[in-house]
Amino acid sequence: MNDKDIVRASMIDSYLAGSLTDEEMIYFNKQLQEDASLRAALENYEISRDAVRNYALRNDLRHIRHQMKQEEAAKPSGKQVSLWQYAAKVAAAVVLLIIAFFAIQMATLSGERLYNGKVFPVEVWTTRGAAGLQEDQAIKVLLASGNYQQVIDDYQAQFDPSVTATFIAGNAYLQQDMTDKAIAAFKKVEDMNTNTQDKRFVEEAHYYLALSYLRGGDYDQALRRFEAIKASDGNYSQYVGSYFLLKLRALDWLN
Amino acid sequence: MKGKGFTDAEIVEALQDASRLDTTVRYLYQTHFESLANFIRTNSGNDQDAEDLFHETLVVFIELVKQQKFRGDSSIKTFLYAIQRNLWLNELKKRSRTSYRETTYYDKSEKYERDIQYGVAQEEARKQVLGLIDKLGENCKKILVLFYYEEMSMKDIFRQMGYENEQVARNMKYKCMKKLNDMLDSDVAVKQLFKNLLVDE
Repeated sequence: MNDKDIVRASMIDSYLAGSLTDEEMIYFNKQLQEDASLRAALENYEISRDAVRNYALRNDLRHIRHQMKQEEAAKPSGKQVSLWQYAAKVAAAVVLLIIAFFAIQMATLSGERLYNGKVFPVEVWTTRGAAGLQEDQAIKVLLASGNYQQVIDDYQAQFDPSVTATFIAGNAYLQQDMTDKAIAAFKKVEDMNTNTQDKRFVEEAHYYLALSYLRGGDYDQALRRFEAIKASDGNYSQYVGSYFLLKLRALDWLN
Repeated sequence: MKGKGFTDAEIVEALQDASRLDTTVRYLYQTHFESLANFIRTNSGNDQDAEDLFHETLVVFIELVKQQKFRGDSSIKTFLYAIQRNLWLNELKKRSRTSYRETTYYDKSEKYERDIQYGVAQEEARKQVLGLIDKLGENCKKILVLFYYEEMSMKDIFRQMGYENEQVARNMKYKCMKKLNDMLDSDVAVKQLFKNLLVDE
């Protein structure tokens, strides 16, 4: 290796890089025409330079790909991701089921269904002290036998019906879907109890009055009455659940 | 190249800029690797073949882009598919040990198909020289890469390589290049491959 070789190599590099001056270019082209070894050297340089660049490009691509794979490996594994995805799917399914359940509940919501779920035969057989008034005993028998119209007829024939008779008549009206009269009867029971020490069917009257409003389609009044019963913590509060009140509120809102 | 999606023109432009190679190559992997890999997997190849072929496809593509041989006649996706198909057919021929080699590279009417077949053939020839580069020492490889690929000045190279001065770096680079060229001179077949390509081009 001598300086001349190195200078020639630099000239070839500059020629390939296109960085020769005009003067150098003229000189170099002249040399190329005259010197076969320079032409051969140039050819080799061209091939080698191209191959070195290709070699470096391949290394760069391999390095980038290697980094990408390392980054992928550092991410949460597919299994963890799929577990999260699975959990999300289950949660979504549960939410959908809940929504579907409520949608069905709302779609089938009706005053009649709510009423039928809460009405049950009234118990009027236990009387305190003496056997009670003769008329009351008769009307109780008629109610128990399901002869509601007769109960109503007998009640209307009475000049001064008792609290018991009025309460039983209220139930008969309710059974006969005469809700206005049932409401009037249960309100009368409430009034009568207000003015006496001998209170009877107090909680029952509240409950059946609320039921009468429900049956009559006055959901606003029914809701207020049932909410009061639940808040009273009395014997009938156990029949007024939160879900029932929710449905009643929905019914009131929808109407 | 802004945002997540790049146009073909943006990719071609970015591939000319060494500083954007990483971003562009990552984007090409993210956008095209899976579909190209599926082609290999469904055509007698395995995952490793798919990985190797995509790497090789990118090399051919980038080299063709640098030679201005991707002219946008087709989309990059179509172009990559065509490169990979050519590479894979060649590979399958090698594996089946058929003596057949395509002596005429340009038997397709599509212009871009001709460019692709030229690029694939060029890469085959380059691989022979890469075998010679591998025989060089690590310092030689490094100095040649810094000079010809990174396009660093001798002043920067002597600092980076820890040489005494710029002249030492210049001498070293000369020696390495001479060693490579001597190996080339002794491998007539490799030189002939390149000459054929230059004539065909």
